[in-house]
Formats: sequence, C-alpha cells, structure tokens
Amino acid sequence: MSALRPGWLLSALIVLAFLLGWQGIIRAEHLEPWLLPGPLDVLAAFGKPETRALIVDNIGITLAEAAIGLLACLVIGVGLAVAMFASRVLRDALYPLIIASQAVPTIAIAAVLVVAMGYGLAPKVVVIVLYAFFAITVSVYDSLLSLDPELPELLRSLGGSRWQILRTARLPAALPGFFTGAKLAVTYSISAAIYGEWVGATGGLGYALQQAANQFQAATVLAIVVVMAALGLLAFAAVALLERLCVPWARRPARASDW
Amino acid sequence: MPRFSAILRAISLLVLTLSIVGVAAGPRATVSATGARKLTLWLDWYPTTDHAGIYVALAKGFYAREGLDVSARIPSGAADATQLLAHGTGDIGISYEPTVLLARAQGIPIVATAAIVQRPLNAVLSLAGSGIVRPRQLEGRTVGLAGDPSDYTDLKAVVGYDGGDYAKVKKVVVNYALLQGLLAKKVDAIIGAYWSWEALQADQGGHPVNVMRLERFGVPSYNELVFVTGRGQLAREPATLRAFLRATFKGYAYAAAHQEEATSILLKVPGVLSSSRALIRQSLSLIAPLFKDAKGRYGAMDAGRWQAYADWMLTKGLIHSHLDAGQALTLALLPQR
Repeated sequence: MSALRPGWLLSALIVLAFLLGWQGIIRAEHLEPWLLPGPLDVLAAFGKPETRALIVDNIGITLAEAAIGLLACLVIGVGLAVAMFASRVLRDALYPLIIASQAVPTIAIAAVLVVAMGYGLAPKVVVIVLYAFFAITVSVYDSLLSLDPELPELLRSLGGSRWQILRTARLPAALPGFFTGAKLAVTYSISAAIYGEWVGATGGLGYALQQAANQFQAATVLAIVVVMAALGLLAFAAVALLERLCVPWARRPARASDW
Repeated sequence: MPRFSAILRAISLLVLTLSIVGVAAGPRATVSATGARKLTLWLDWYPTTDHAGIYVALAKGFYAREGLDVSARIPSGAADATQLLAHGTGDIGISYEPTVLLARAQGIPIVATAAIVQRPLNAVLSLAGSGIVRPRQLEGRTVGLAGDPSDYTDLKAVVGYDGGDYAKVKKVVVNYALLQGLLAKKVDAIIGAYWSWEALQADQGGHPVNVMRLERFGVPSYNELVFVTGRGQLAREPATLRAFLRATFKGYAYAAAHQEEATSILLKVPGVLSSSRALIRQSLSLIAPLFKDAKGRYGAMDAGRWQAYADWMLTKGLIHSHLDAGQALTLALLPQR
C-alpha cells in the first residue's frame, strides 16, 4: 500500500493544479458564472439545499439503472464469451456481430428506444448493455483463450472430470479477464445510464443535469457532473476491491523495475 | 466515441465557453455577395404562424430593401436560442418574456428588443379522453416539456395555483416531439404547446384536446414571443437590428392584412409544421390580432408590466431574488411612430 502513496500525492497535486488553473482563467478573463462557473461556484452550488435535494432525489434512480444494466451486461457478456469459446461455429457467427454492435451510434439508438419503450427503466438497461457488454465479452473470451491448452489435457489424463477441470483450471483463468471487463463495464454503466436519461426520463442524474442546464444553472450542472464522476470512481473501486478478494493471485502490480 | 458524447453534451456549457473566446474577439459584420448585411435569426421552434411576418418579409423582399440578408435557423435543442445569443452566436433570436426574465435572473445578459405576440399562447394540453381538465390533476402523471426554462416555472405556477403539488408531477423533456408525444400517449399532458397551433393541429388530426390556458390558472399576461439579442450584438449594431425590426413588423402587418397570401407564403417554407392550408389560415386568423398591442402598435413592450411579471415570479418562488425587469428589455430599437 505504502508504495502507492507518491502516486496518490501526485494525483492530488494534478487535481489541485487543475482547480487552481480553472479558477485562475476565470479571474484573468473575468468570466461570469453563467458563462463558466469556477470551482468556488460549484462548491457554493453544493451548499444550496435545492442542489442537494436535486442530487439526493435522483441519484438512486441512476444507481438502480446502472446496477440492473451492469447485471444484464455480466450475464450477456459472460454468456457470449463462453458460447464463443465452446463452439467454433458460434465464434465465427457471433464475433463479427459483436464487433459490429460497437459501430452503432448509441445516441441514435437511445433516441429510437425512447420512442419504442417509453421513459422508464427498460430503454436505459438496453443502452447500458449495448454500451458495456463488449468489454466483458472480449476480456473474458481472451482470458479463456489464454489458458495453456496443455493444462486441461494434463488434468484429464490425471482423471479429472469436466467439472473439476472447469473449476480448477478454466474458471480461475477466466476470473482476471472477467474483472478487467467488469471494471470497465461498471464505469460505462453509469455514463450509459445518464446517457439514456438525457434522451428521455422522468428522474435520474441525467434528468437532473438536463433540468439544471435547461434552467441556466451552470454551477448546478457542474456539481452534478462532479457527483457523476465520483460515482464512477466509487463503482470502479468497489469492483477492484471485489477483484482483490476473489482473485488474490492475480494481484501483481507491474512496476517499471519488472521490465 | 459514443461513450464520450454523453459527457460532452453534459458539459456543453464549457464547450460553448471556449467558442466565446473566438466570438468575443471582435465584431465581425458578415456581408453577402450582393453587399447585403447577413443576419442569423434563431427561431424558437419549427416555422409556424408565429413566424408569419418573418417569412412574409423574406418573400416580399422587405429585408432586402433594408440591405439585410436574413437566414432563419432552428436550433438543435428547443431551448438553445437564448444561450446561443448570450454566447454571441447569431444576431437575433426568438424567445419568450418569462424565459428572458429567468435568464436575467441567472445573470445571462440577453435583452428583449420587441414583442412579436403580445399575449400568452402557452397552454397545458391533454387528450380529450384523458379526463385531465385542470392542472392539479397532473399529480402523479407525466408531462412532456420542450425543455425551455419557462416550461418548468409555468408548470410549477399553474399546478400550484390549482392546489396541486408540483413535486408530484413527473416531467420529461421531449424537445420538438411535443405534440407527437401526447398523441402517441407517451405523456399524459404537454406544456409549452400553443392553443393557437398545437391544439388546432391535434383537433384537425382527429385528436381533440383539453386546453388549459396559463392565464386561466393564475399566470399574469405576458408577451408570448419576443425578439432577443445579446449584449454584445446590441452594443455593436443597433442600426442593423433596428432595420431588421422595421422590415419584420412590416411583414407582420402585411401578414395580418393579407392572411390568405401569408398562408400561401408559409405553406412554401421548408420545415413548416403543417402542410394544411386550413390549419395555417385558422391559426393565423386567431393570432393576427395579438401581433398588435391595445394601442395598435407592433413590437411594443410595456416595461411596467414586465416588472409586474418579474415581481409575480418572485412571490411564487419561480425566481429567488428581486429582478430589475428594465434590464431585460430595450425599447430603443422599436420603429418610431
């Protein structure tokens, strides 16, 4: 842990420099808060009860959407990866389609989904899945492939059953890839949920953001953006923690000295 | 990268700010090949009868005679015109008295230069079969908004006036798909629709609607449509803006006096919201009398009444501190009579 401290300090310095630079530009250019609020304006926005109420009332909706969307991503992402790993035919059939799905502009899809599915949870979940399943599918599939093919052979020759091979060799091999994908997917889920809300919703942080922007409340907009970023970080940290608990053997942070 | 676009859209304020550095660099009078001064006009909505005078002025050459080359544009978001102008993008735009006051309350320096429609057209619409006939019934229902700042405050005002709880009204921004959302039953009601247009359009399409006019539910009278401009544009080119208003109100006077011809002109406008001559003709006959104030003047604004509206907003909690409405409008550009 102590090895990470200089890095954290540097992060804090970068953030501080960013905030000072931001405030400095506003001072130097005499930018008014309606044009570009400074860090202090954003802080002041957090101090207002109406801003806090707006955030508190809407954060749960976004979190619920992101959680359900992420769960759907995990099921679909892992399912596709396993299917492609298990069958060559499926691999040849699905891989190009999965790649193609990433070329679809999500904003266009989101707008169409709102028309077809309304303003509720369903279109947000679809947007999140479209956005985030890819990260999981690809990383799980790659880590399944990366398993030395001789290991299952060896286990089989030693009398291991299919289940035992899966449990002792394939699953542990796929877990690091799964968590790599999940860390990406969890941050995507939050931005995708906000994205889905922006196109049409009656609640959520994206909705709150739109309402504040429409009412010319620039500082509130940035305050909500800060909350969104914090949510993304926390969600990432939660998955990273889970990874550490589930895959302790994979935790060997690369250092420059290793090279 | 699609995943970044959400964030990009979200911090569009920041992005717009960067553009101001370029825009604010200095006055740039663009001149067309014929020597006419090019003017960009941001409409508030797709072209409808509200904009009749502008399209008449274009078709009859009133702008050309003032040495102006006017291009009317529709912003990508229904609420964007005000912010575009405040940021110095474009020369003149169309907004609403309540929106101008709300913008001023947030310190956004836009100024109303003339009233296009003197009285409120805005209404809450619901389908006739929905049983929603008064604003308090919107509790627990979903209301579609175009996204203009005044949509939120208008809704809050009428629901509160009628004894309902605004916090219990679900709101969804549908942008330009206002009437479509209502007709497709995606929303239970809409606000920001006009009794002089959307209500007629729905009726004509065989979907009768309940019309709840704002002024029936406690909202004082105001100038529905106004021309607005930014502080910079106003300081730089008062003469150009004056010429624009002169030609425009000549257009409105002509449209009111020759409604059949104005209807024909509007039917040819690209993007006009209806291809029905009967609808445009009927709408025009309803709003033409509202182009003029009680004394028969085009463009007139009453600073005292604007102040009364701003004071009413304060008492209703729609703005949070006293606002000097005098800063929100200028009478200096209006045609002399």
